[in-house]
Amino acid sequence: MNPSNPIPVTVLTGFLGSGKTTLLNRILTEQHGKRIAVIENEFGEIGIDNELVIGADEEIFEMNNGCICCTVRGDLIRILGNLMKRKDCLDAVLIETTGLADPAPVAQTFFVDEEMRAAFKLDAIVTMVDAKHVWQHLDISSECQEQIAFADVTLINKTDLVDAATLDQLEAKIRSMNAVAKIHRTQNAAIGLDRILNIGAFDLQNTLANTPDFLKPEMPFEWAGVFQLEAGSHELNFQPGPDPEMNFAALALDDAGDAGWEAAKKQAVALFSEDGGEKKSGSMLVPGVKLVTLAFGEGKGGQFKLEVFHAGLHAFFTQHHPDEFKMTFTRGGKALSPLKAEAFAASHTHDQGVTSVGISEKRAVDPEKFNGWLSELLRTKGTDIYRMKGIIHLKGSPNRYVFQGVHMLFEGKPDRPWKDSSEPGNQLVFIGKNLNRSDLEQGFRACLA
Amino acid sequence: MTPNTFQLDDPVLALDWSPDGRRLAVAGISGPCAVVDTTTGIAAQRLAGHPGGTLALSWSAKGDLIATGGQDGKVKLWVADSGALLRELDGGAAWVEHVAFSPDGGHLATTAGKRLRLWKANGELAFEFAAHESTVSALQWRADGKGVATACYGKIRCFRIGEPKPYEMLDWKASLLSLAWSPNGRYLASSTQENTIQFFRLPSAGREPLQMTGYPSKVKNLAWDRTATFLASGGGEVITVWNVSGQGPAGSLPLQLVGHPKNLSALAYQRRGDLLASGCEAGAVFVWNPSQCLWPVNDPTPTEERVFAMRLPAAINELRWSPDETAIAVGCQDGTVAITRIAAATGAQSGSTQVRTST
Repeated sequence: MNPSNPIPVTVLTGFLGSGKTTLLNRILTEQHGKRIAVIENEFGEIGIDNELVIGADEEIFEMNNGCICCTVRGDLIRILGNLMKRKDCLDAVLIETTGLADPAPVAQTFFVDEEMRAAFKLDAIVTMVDAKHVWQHLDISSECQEQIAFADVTLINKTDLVDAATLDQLEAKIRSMNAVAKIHRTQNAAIGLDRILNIGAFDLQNTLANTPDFLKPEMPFEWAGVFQLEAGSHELNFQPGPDPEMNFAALALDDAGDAGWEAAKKQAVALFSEDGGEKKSGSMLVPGVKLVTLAFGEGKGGQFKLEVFHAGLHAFFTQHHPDEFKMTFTRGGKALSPLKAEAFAASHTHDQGVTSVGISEKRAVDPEKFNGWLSELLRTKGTDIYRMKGIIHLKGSPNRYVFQGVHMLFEGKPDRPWKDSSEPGNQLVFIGKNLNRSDLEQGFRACLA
Repeated sequence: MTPNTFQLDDPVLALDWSPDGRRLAVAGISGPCAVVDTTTGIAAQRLAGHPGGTLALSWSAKGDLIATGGQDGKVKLWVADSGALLRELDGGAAWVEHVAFSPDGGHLATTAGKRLRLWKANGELAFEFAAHESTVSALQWRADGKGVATACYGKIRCFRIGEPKPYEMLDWKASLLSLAWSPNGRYLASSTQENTIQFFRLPSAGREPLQMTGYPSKVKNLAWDRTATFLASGGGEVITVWNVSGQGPAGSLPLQLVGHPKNLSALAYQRRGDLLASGCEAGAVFVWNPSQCLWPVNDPTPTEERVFAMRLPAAINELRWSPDETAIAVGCQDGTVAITRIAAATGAQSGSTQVRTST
């Protein structure tokens, strides 16, 4: 054991059949010559002859340390406690969790046990999802949601089994749950190992280093597409979807370039802030600066006519992803495809599922107020907050303050000095369930100095 | 006095003396074991141990057999004189983490995962107990050899040999990491993941355990003195010795033995004498005589009384008194095995002399 050089630990989660074993085999093949200990919880068929594949029973227990959600894995403490004494030092540890595992106990083990903390460093949580089958779990399985929420890297595997639109939709959905994870699409779990091993996702220095988009403004629509339309009648058909109604807007577009596209999105954001006029199935729609609410009715789809008076570019904005309603858009029975389309993270979650809340604020915060707010937040909401990360601009400090947490466990420290006078600012992200964006924003803003 | 040393090509995981004190069995963490002549420091036998790693070792009280357990799920019985593998037994799970011959040599108890198995000395299965709720974390024989105790998450069980059900079930909702059964059989102490010691009086009759708290880190070692008066514990750099006589340890101040530069990693009391040997992660080995210190402790000022000191090159992983209690064997993280006589040992047994050696 060399305490100054802790061994990186990668946690691999994902449902049974998502491709964890394939990825493990790939890692062991490509990294051969390195001593990698694999701690497995399912009888995956590791095809590589590795003396350090160890089967473990997940023994999860609660720490009696006053932190109600602080569970750890006793089996890992025992097994790694043995492995860390070996003289032929390990290069890495891979921990595969069972399909239905909540990743929190594994992560927390490396926060709370001092020996584990000294000898090992949690490198990243990698979650694999099966592009085709994950849908059946996404909204109903808390384990599936937790695995996505905890991830530093999500591999959307088996991309060959679904079409591009479904992949886009899945990626948008995953992004809406976890705004900071890196997402990669893979077939047969083929991925450059430098993207999943030794990435330092839990290094405080790397906090939010590679996650510039999580603060991207949320859109009130989940999808937008640009179509080149002829004058005349078009048909919009929807199958029954998750909601009995959906907001919709169709705008004429001057210019298909980026400027025109951005302007249209801005216009649509404004439109979506108003109440839409209700249109029942069978109604006629016209493009224009107006929001409509397509009223399908409970458990029903709908058919609408879109009358286009002026041929040209049009942008459609839909509150939900059109795939959720299997939307088709046709003219005279002939399907029309968008020239371009973009999916957006859902701005709200009707299911109170897992979401990310990002906060960005330039002004400095008062250290005491911030500390008080965060402590109270973790005390009361720690069970719902899976991960959090942040860079804080503390009043009076020339250095950034960086922090991260897993449930109620928190670690933070002053980091490097701000580079120049324009750099200081706060960026925080919370990933969890039942998160209330406005409460979090207000709570944080109340800490401003 | 220069110790006899033997170099194992692997961190020392376990060691045990032969009953006559002439040989020492040592196990390396990655598997290989050796039987070392304690007077010459030369390996008399080499045992292959277990592929993947050896996890436990015990020398039978009759002297003829050595039992080992390992990461191959096996319990192996070796002929001590020849080093030949006599029998290979199925431990019941992937890692056989504990093997222990009874003090009378009649039985061997082994644990693997949730399984506790009891074997006759010849390797015949005598009994398999009902599975524990979680992996057995500790195993200890009662001093009279008629009972055995196990710890797992949240529970300690005491079994009488010949009875399938435990005669004591002690509950404490925590990850229990170790067991120390007092020589008189009346107390059981267990350290926990949360840096505490739970202290049970037997029979428990449903009483809650006492809790000893305030340790700066996990308590890795516990040791009882022969009179079951003192419980020594190592958590952090300081050895804390509790006096459990009378009303103690509740509300009492423990003795604190200071001097180890790093966290304690081994503790052993003599079985018939009063000396306590300790080892730490910095390689320091000390021998103390807590009974000679000022009891009761009236103020918490730490004491620095030592009767022996030695510095080895690496962290101390194991430490055992010789059967005649005149020497200790120490196994280190770098594979060093040192056997050294303790000059004070004989004298201290009578309680009359105390030799002080400074570092």
